[in-house]
Amino acid sequence: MYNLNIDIKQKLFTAALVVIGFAGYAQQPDSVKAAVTVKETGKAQIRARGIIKDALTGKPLTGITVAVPGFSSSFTDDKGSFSVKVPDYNVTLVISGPGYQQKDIALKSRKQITASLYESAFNSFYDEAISLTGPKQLNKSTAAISSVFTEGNWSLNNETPDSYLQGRVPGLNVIRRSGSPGIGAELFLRGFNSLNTRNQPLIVVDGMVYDNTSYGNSMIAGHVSNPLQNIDPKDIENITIIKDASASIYGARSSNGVIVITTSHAKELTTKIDFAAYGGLNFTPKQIPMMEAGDYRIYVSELLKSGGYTDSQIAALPYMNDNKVNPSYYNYHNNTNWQDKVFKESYNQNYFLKVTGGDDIAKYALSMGVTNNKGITRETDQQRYNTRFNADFNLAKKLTANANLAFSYSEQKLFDQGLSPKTNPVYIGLVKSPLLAANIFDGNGVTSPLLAEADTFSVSNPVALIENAQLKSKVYRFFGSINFKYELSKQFALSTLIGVNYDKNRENVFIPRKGTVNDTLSNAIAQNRLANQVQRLFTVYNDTRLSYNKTFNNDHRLAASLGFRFNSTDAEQDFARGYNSPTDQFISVGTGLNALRKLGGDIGSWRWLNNYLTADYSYQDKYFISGNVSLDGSSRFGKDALQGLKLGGVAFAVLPAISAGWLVSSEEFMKNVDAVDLLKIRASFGLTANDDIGNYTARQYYISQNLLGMQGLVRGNIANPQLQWESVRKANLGIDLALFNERLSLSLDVYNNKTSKMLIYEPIESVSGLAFASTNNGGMRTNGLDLGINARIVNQGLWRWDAGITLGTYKTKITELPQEAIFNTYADATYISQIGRAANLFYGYKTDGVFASNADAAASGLGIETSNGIRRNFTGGDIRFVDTNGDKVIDDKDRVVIGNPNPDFFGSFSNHVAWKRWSIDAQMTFSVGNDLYNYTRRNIESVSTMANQTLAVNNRWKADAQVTDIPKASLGDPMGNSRFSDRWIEDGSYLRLRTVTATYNLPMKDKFLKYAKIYLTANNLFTMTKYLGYDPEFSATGSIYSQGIDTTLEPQFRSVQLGVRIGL
Amino acid sequence: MEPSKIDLKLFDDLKMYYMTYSFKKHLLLLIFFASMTTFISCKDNWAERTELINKDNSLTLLAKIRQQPELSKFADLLVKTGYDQVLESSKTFTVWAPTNEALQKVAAATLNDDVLSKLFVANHIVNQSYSVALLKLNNLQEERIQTLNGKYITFGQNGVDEAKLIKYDLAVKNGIFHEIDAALEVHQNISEYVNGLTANGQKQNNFIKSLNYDLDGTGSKVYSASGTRNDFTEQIARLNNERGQFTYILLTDEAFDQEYNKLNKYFKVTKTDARYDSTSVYRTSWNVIKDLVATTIVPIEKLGTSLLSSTGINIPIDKSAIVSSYRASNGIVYIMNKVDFNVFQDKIRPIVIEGESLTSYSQNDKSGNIFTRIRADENGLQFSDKFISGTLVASFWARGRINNLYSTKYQVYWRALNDQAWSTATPSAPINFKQKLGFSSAIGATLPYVDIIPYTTVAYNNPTDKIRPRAPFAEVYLGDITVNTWGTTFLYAIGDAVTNAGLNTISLDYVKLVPIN
Repeated sequence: MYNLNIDIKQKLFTAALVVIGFAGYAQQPDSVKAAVTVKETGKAQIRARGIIKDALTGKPLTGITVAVPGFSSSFTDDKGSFSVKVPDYNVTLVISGPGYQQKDIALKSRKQITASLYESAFNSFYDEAISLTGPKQLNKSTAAISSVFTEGNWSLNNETPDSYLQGRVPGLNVIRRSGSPGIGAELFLRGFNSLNTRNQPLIVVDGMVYDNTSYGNSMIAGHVSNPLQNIDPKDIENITIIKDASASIYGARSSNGVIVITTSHAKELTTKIDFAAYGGLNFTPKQIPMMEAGDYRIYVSELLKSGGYTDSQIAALPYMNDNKVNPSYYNYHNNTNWQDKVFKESYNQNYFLKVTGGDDIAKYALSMGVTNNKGITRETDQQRYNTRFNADFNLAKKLTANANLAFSYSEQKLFDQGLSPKTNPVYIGLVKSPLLAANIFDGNGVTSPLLAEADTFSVSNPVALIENAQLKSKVYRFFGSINFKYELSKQFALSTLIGVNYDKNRENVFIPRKGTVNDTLSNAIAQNRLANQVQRLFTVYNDTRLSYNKTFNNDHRLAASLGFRFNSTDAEQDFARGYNSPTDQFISVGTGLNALRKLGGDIGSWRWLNNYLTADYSYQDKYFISGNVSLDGSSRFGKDALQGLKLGGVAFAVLPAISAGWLVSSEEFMKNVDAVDLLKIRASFGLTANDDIGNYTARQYYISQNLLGMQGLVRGNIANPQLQWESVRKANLGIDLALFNERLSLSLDVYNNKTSKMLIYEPIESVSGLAFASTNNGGMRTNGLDLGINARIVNQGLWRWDAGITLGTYKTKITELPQEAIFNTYADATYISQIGRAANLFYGYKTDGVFASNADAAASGLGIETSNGIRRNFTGGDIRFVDTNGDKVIDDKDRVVIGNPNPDFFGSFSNHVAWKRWSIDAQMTFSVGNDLYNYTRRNIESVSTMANQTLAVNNRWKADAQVTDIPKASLGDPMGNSRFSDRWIEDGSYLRLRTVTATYNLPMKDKFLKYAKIYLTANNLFTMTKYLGYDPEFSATGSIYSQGIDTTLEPQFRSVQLGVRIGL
Repeated sequence: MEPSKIDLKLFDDLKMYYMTYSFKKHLLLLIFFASMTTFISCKDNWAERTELINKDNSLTLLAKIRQQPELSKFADLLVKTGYDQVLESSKTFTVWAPTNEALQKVAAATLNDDVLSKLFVANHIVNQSYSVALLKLNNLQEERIQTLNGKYITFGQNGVDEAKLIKYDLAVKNGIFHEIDAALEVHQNISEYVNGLTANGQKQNNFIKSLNYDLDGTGSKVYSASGTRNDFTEQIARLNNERGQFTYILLTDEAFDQEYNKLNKYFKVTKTDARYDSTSVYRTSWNVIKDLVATTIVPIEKLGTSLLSSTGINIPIDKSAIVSSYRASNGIVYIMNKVDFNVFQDKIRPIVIEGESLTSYSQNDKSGNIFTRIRADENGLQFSDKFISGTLVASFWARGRINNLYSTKYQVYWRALNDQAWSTATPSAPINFKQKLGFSSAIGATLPYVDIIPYTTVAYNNPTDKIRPRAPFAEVYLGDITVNTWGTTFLYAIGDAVTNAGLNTISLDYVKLVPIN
C-alpha cells in the first residue's frame, strides 16, 4: 500500500534540504570586513567608532543614527563612519535609520565595530513585539513570543486576521473552518489545555479584550459568525502572540495564550492617501468522482435486490422503466452532474482607502474598505463595509490620548452546511441521484422552467434550494476605545483605557417547501421553514494602570506596572422559528402557522476584574528578569472555590509568573565569535487559568419546561459552589539564535503545560433528574516544541531571497479523570478521552478487508447481535471487522483507538524573492500525521443507501472469490458495514501552496503619485494530500470533540486576484 | 504615465537580468521551480482509489460473454436478436449462456426465425442478479424466475430447468452469468399447448372454449366464442398464467364421453332457459372437467394413484391411461383416455343446507322470536342453528334456497336440537314439538318433485349444562325424495299447525340430502 505519511515526509525532507542547502550557501562570508582604525581618546570622553554599511550592496550608509539610549547619539557621515560617546565599553549601541532595520550591537569592550544593516522589512530579533504592556524588542524579551508585522498586508485578499496568521507563527495551528468567505479559523496555540472549555487564545486589540466568542448557535447550520472578520487585516500593523506563562497578567483568560493585535496609526504629519483596488476569480473545487447514471442504476438495482425487492417491484420503479411512453420517463432518465449545479466560479472584489496625516496636536488615520466576495456555492456572497478611525492627541504637555474606533457591517448570503442532509447543497450535490434533473419534463421530453420537487429518494433539489432558500446573516460591530495617558513625572505615568464593544448579529432563514425534503417536528410535518435570530453583545472595558520606568547608572533598567482591568459583558440571543407559511412567497416568521411557532433565547452576562502587577528588570542589557502576578475575580467562579484567595467572600485566582533571559551573545567572551550575532536563552514558569466554565454553572438555576401544555420551571443544573477556573501551569525553555550577520536566525521553544482542576461534565445518577454535574476533577498535560527559522539565502546585487520555516508539534495526555473514560460522539464518530492517552482519539472498529466468499465468512464465525438479541452471521461481501475481544460477536466491546486528529507536526515554508522592482512571496503550509474522519465519504461509499456513490464503489463485492475492500451492496446496512471504523479514517496530512504573490512596483516619474504597485496573488494554488475529500482543512466547531471530522462544509478553494495600489 | 513607458521599463529590466546574471543564479531559480513542480506533480488520489481491482467489474455482460470462446455462438445470437444492447445497458441481469455445443442441438428453425430466436434468447436472460451462492445462503433448493420473454425458469443450485451449470456465479459490471450445458428452449404454456392440439381432447377443449363470455349491460353473462372472459379460467385455473404451476389432465374424447355419460342423468333439465350455463350439457360437461387441474407440477415419475385437484377432489390416476404428456412452461399436461371418477364419492356429493341459511319467513313481524344460535354438541363442537319459538302462529315457516340440486333420489336427514326448557321462559318444562320440511313449496305439490316431509317430532334433547347446553343428538333420517330436474329450489322448515308457545317451535341445525342413485 502506498504510504502517504512517508511520501509527505519525503517531500518535506526534500524541501528542508533545499532550504538548508541554500542556507549553507549563504553562510559563505560575502561581505568584506573593513579595517577600522581606532583612535585613543581621553578617559573623560571615551568614544566608540565604526562603520555602518548596507548589508545588500556593501556600500557605506550615511545618516544612520548610532545611539546609547539615554546617554548620547550620533550620525554616520558620507563614508558611513561614526563616532559616538559611550559611558564605557560594555554598553550596547542602538543603530537605526530610515528605511533600515534597527540593530543593537553590544560593544563587549570593543572600541570599534563594523555593522551592516538590512532593509527595514528584514525579519530580525531586533524587531519589536507589541506586547501586553507596550512595545518591546524581541531580543530583550524573556517570554516565548512571536511578532508578525503585516506591513499593511496589501497583497492579500480573502483573509481575516485569524486565517492570515496561518503558518506565520511557530506553534500556532490555524485551521480554517471552511471555504465560506469571512468564516475565519480555529486558532490552537500550542495544542490545547482543556477538554470542555474554550481552547482559543485571548485576543486583545489596541489594549482592549476583543470578544471573539460566538454567542449562541447560528440558525444557519454549520455557520459560525466570526467576530474577527470585522477587523480588516489592512488596518493591522502588528500581531504579537504570547505563548507562555507571561500571558498570566490576563489572569483567568490567559491559559490559551494571548494574541495582541495593534492597528496602525499615522506615523507622519504629512497627508498620505493610499488607495487599493482588487478583483479576482474564485475557482470551483476539483470534483469528487461520483457515479454517472449508468453505474448508479446498476448500483441501485443491486441494492434494491439486496433489500428484498422483487424483480417486478424493481422493474416497476420509474427510473427502471425504460419505456418512453411512461409519462415520467424523462424525469427519471437523465445524467446530471449535481456538483456542477452546486458550485460555480465566482469573483471577488475589494476596495480600500486610507488617509493619514495631522499636525502637532492631532494625528489621524482614517480607513474605509468595501469587500464583495462571492462564494463558490452558487448564490452565496459576502458584502462587507468597514471603517476605522485611529487618532493620537497631544491634549496637554503631559496628557496624551489615542483613540481607536472601528465600525463594520457585513451582509452574507449562505446556505446550510455540515450535518444538515436535507438542506446542505454541498452534501446534496454529492448524494443526489444523477438520474434526476433540476427541472421537470413533460411526457414528450420537453423541459419546463418549473423546478423539480424533492425526489423519490428523499433528496432535495439543490437547484431549488439555491434559487429559493434565503439564509442571511447581517453583522454589525462597533469596537472603540480611548486611552488617556498622563505623565506624572519622568518615571511615573498613569493611563486609563475605556472601551465599548457593541455587536449585533441578525439572521434570517427561509427554506422553501418547493424542492426540499420536509422536516419532521414532534407534532407536525414542516414543509417550509422560517427563522429569525438576533444576537447582541455589549461589553464595557477599562484598563487603568500606573507605570514606572527608570534606568539606573545606564546598567539597570526597571519597568513596572500596577493596574486593574474590568470587563462587563452582556450577551443576549432571541430567536423565533416558524413553519408552514401559506406559500413560498411568505418568508417571514410571522406568516408561519401559529401553532408551530417557537420562540426562545438566552441571556448571558458576566463581570471580570483583573488586578495585575508586572515588572521587567534588566542589567547591562544582558540579563533580563520579568515577573508578574494577577489577582483575578470573575462572576463565573463559585464562591467556595478550592484554590485562590478569598477576599470579602469572593474567590480570586492568584496567578504568578516569572521569566528570565540571558543574552549570551552580549557577553565579553563572545566578542571573538563573529558568526554569532545573537544568542539568548530564555525560561519562564507560571500559572495561567481558563475561566470559560459557564456564566452560571457554579450557581443554581432554573429553566423553563413545557409538560403537556403546562409551563413551569425546573432545575437546570446541580449547583457547584466549589466550581472554579481551570488552572494551567506553564513552563517554557527557549533559545534565540542569529548567525552570520543575521543571515540565519532561529528560535526554538520547548514547553510543558499542565492543566489541573479541569472542567468535567461528570455523569450522575439518573434519579437526580439530570444527566451530569460540572466539576473540576480532571487534569491533562501538553508537551511540545516550536521552531522558527529564517534565512536570507541570497543577498547579492539586485537579488534577495528570504526563506523561513515554522514548525510546531505537541502531544496531549490526560492525567486525571473522575471516570474511566469519556466518550463524545459527533457525526457518528466517537472520541475517547482516557487517562494516559491523548485527549481526543477516534474510537471505533478496526477492519481487515472484505470477506471474499460466504465460506470465508462462515469460517471466521463472526456475527453481530441485533437489538432484539438475534444473532446474524457475516456473509461474503461483508466487512471483516476485527474481533478484538475474541467473542465472535462484533459489538461495542471490539472498539479500539483508530486515529488521532492531532497532527504530528504542522507549520509552514515561506519564501520572499525580490529582484529590482519585482518580488514574489510564496507561503506553503503543512500539517503532517493528523487523522481525519471522512464522514462525507462514509455517506457516498456506504454501499447501503440510495445516495449516489463514488466511482470507487464500482469495486464493490459482487460474487464469491472477489477480493476487494468495498463491501457488497446491502440496503439499510443490516450488518453495519458502514459503521464508524478505520475505513473512514484517513491521513489528513497536506502540504499546500497557501499564497503566492507577485508584486511589481511601477517606476514613478510623475510627482503626483508617490508610488503604484501591482499585485498578482493566488490562494490555495495546489494542495498535496492523500485525503479523499474536497479538502483536508476544515473545522466544524471549535470543540476538540469535532476536530478532524469532515461534515461536508464548503471546501477551501483556489482563487487568483489582481490588485493595484497607489499612493498619493 | 503612459502604459508604453511601463512596458519598456519592464522589458529593460528583463534584458538586464539576462545580460547581467550568470548561470549560477539561473541554477538557483531552476532548483526553486523544480522543487515546486515536484510538489505539484503529485499523483491524483482518486485515480488511485477508483482504479478497478476486479477488471470484470468494468465489463458488461455482453463484453464478458464475448470473451468466452465457448460462448461465441450465443454471443452472435445476442447480436442478431438485438439483446446485445440489453446486456450492455445499465440495469442488472442474469444470463444463463448455453455453450456452442448446447446450441448445436437447438433446431435451426428456432435460431433462424426472427421471432422465435428472440424468444429463445430472451429465455436465457432475467432481470437482477441470481447466484448459486445466494441460493445456498438462503437455503433455497430452487427459485422460479421470470425471463425477459415472460416465461419462467426454475433455477436450482445445480442447474436451471433441465440444463446443468458448467460455470456459475461469474459477476461482471451489470450482473451475473452462468454457463449451461443445454439451451433453455421456449416451452408453450398449458393453454397454448392445449389449444394447439388438433387430435386429442377436442371435446374437452371445445367445451372450455364454449365457456367464453362477456357481461351485458345488466351484468349478466352472455356466452360467445369471442368473449374475453372464461368460466374455467376464472373459477378453476388460469392455465395461460406463466407464473402458475399446474398439472393438467386432458381427457380424450372417449374418456370425456364416458365421464359425461356417467353424470348426465344428474343434470336433467326440462325447463327451457336461454342461459347456456343452465343447460344439461353445460352442467354435465362442467362437472366432468372441473376436477382436472392440480396446482403443482407432478412429473410422471412422481405420479401416484391419485392427484389432488384444485377443487379438493382426488383425481383417480391410472398411469396406463396416459396417452401422452407435455412439459409446458407453466406445468405439465397429461392426455388420458380414462379417468374413472367414482360418481357418489367424487362428483355427486351429498347436499347440506344449514338451518341458519333459511332467512325468509312466512311473516315479517316475528323477528323477536327468530334466533340464529351458537350451540355446542355433545362433543363440544360448536355449530350454528336456526331456532324459532313463541311466534303464536300456526304453521310458521322459514325458507332457504338449495342450489345445484341434482336430478336424482335423495335420502333426507336433519339435525335439530330441542332445548326449549333452557332457552325460553315458557314452557319451563321439557316439551316436544313437531316440524316438517317442504321442498319447492310450503303447502303442496306444484312441481313434480315437490315433496313434503311429514311432521316429525323433535324430542327434547335434555341438555346437561345451562351455560353451554350440550345435548346428545344425532341426524334423524326422515325419508326419501326424488328430484326430477336439476336446478335450484326452496327448502321450507314448517312449524306445527298450532298456536301454543313451545309446540309450534322450529329448530334446525341442518338438512342433508344424500343422493342414492
